[in-house]
Amino acid sequence: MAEIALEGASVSSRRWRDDHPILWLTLTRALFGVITLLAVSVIVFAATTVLPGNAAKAILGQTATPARVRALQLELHLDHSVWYRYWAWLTGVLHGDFGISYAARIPAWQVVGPRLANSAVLVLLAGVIGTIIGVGLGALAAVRRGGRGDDVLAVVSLGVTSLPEFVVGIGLVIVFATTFFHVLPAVSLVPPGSSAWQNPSVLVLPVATLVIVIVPYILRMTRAATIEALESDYLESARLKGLSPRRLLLVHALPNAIPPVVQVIGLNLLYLAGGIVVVETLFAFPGIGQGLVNAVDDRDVPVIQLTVLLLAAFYVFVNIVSDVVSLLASPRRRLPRS
Amino acid sequence: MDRQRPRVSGDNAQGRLQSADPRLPAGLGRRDFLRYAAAGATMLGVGSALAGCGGSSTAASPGGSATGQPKRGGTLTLGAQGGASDDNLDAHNPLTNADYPRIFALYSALVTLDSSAKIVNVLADEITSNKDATVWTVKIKSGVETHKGKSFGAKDILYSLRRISNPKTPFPGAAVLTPLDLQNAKVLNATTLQLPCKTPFSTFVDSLVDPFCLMVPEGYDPKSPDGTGPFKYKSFTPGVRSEFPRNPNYFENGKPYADDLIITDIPDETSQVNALLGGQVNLINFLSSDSLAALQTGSVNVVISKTGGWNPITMRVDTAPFSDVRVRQAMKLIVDRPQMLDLVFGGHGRIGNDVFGYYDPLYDHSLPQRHQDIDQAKSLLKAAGHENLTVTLTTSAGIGQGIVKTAQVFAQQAKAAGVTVNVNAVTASTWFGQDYLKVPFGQDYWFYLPYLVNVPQVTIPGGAFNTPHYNNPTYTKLYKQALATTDEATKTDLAHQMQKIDYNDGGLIIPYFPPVIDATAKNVHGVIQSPSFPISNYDWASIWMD
Repeated sequence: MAEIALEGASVSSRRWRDDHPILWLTLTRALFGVITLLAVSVIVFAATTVLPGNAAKAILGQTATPARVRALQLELHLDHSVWYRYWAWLTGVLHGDFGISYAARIPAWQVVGPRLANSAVLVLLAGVIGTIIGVGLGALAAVRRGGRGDDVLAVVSLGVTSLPEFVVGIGLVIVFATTFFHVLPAVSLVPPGSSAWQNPSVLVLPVATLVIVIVPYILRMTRAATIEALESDYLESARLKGLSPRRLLLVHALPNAIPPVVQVIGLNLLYLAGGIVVVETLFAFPGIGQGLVNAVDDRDVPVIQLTVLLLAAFYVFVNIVSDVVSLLASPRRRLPRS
Repeated sequence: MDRQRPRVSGDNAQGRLQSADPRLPAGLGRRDFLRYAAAGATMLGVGSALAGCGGSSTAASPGGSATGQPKRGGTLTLGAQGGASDDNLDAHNPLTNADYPRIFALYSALVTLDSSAKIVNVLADEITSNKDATVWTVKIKSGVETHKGKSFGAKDILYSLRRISNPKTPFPGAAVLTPLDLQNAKVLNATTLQLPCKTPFSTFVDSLVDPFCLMVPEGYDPKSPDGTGPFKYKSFTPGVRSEFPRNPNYFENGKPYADDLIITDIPDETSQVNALLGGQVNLINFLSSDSLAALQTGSVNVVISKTGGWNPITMRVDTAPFSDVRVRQAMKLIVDRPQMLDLVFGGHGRIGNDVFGYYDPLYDHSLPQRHQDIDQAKSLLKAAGHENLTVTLTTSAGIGQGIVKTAQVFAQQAKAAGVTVNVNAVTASTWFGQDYLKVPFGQDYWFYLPYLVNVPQVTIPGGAFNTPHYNNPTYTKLYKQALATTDEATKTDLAHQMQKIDYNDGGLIIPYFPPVIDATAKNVHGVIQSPSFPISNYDWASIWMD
């Protein structure tokens, strides 16, 4: 997309772009990211408006008598037009004010912030641990390809891939929390005011569930990419030159496997950000996914907007980072084109 | 007049006993009661269905665990169903299912229901009326103090009633208090309040059972809640957790027993069960019968209450095809009630007879139990010109436990009569946002209320929850007459006439009265049968741990 837009750019900017490809990529992607976020905010706002029912009725539920609905609508300013509400929200955001949560009646940021911190801990831990295990096992399987260990890993990872996360989660709960051993908490009850980080034991099972879910993908991609590198001509000549197998793998093969693996890790991080809602529900983990489901139920537009914007920003950020890392790891693509 | 129904006078022995321990069935000592409770628990353990519909109104038998003398101390931790980010602590404005256990902990009512659904005093000492039920006198216990140490009296009761009924921002409880003339109410002395009524209000005491009628002190601010309940406010995060320490000023001596009450929202039932089995909480509420198998491990206690709550299938009597009474009757005859109860609640609970208010002494147990009769249903439909009828039943899992399953079972059973029922399940927000009170064929959910307290809300024109859009002048007239009489026999007769109309003509199918299923850790005691809400009707003061 960036290239199409630049077709008519001046010679000097083209040179600048060629001289600083990574900076250029980051800047253009960031610009498109901002436009994406704006578009997302419009779409989400429109979608929550066409959903049946409004916040006042959703919050009051069965007790939504006309008098009460009217009172709450006035209180939440739902009597204004859609355009006015969107404009008020947008100008608020530009001033750093994300609005007041309809359901909780406190600033939306105070509703989303603690949940965001909890989910971030969950996603980062699962991402880091999953990546280390996935890349490690993948490299190992590539080196020992065709061996018994490789076969076992292939079967196990294929099996795990076909299990949905709630099955994995419930399995772990049965084994470690309720039925066989009582060593870990079955649900992640985090007292308000403290974060998940301060209660490490509640993190173990949710993180383990997510790790088990993402490892197979990273493992298989690492294995495939490493095998491709190991079987390439230049590695053959490096091997003939007499380099040690360890050096072959770590210095020559793995770096060449980085671009595809980074893309898969990026995809898995994105999955984690959006897909942890199931795991959060299973463990009653007070995270952003569960918060979003609640907010949609209550038609709590400020909270929905803020949550979706944060998730979208995370998507944009991870995409930029994984592209930049891929580019850094493949010097060929960084060379100026003639 | 000789049989004043609300037995809330403090002048007789029975009244005093109830005052001392409002949860014990009258005339039963604690020892007898505990033995009875243990027997109930054993029966539940082997999964036997407790005796069905008896002729008396005291069919709620205690279950669960209650052994030994209550002990002080311990922390009760409830993993509560149904919380969300709109949880709040306003005594008069519970919005989510997780709000009820919280407000019953912080605030007290004037009267409540005991385990056999009898109305017993809490803050009230005596509530009496003149002969035509147009002036009520409320005398409350003396020496009651709030959490913040203020003395609590008649002026606070008046403040609460006015707060609930504020015409500008009426709370849900306003619906059951409409006849009161609060402008002209008088505080006679520190503990006595005189309440004149605009129209006769013989159901005043019954109305106070409504969960939206809790009492708060003058100047009440829900952001810094003060009350007279067994536990007091310490911290609260909507959708997550609340922490309430024991109220040492509680007006019942020795109670509450526990030091702290922590209520944690757990949105998913599997997580609730896991949290109890894993020992992170020691009480869970509002379970479906699907969880019973997972709980039969012997490591926890399960309490299954036969409540007077009701989940009607609602037919709009002003909309075709249900505007024809023969179609309504056919729909009622289509239901195989025992089978429905088996499929939806594993056989727990009790089958219904299209009349609500099961535990009310006014409930007419002599009406013949309606059974499935497909032939009769078919001939009624034929006579109405609605053979091979197709209808859409709009429902939502958000209405309550077992609702969608009920709709599905009904659709299945209707096939036999040639009726096609399309079940349209929508989300809770859609349901309450646009469908509730509008769809011709839907469902609803009620906790137990005395019969004549439910009537003005559900079956009288203008009722806020009149899902069947019922408007029957004869019925409405009977209701007004019932409100105007304090003579128990006359009132019973009027209520029975109304129930006959509900049964034959009404737009509500009441296939069953659902059970409330709770579970507790082994060391939690005092959770007994409840006529309405989970966990002993949320009587937190009486629950103890060892």
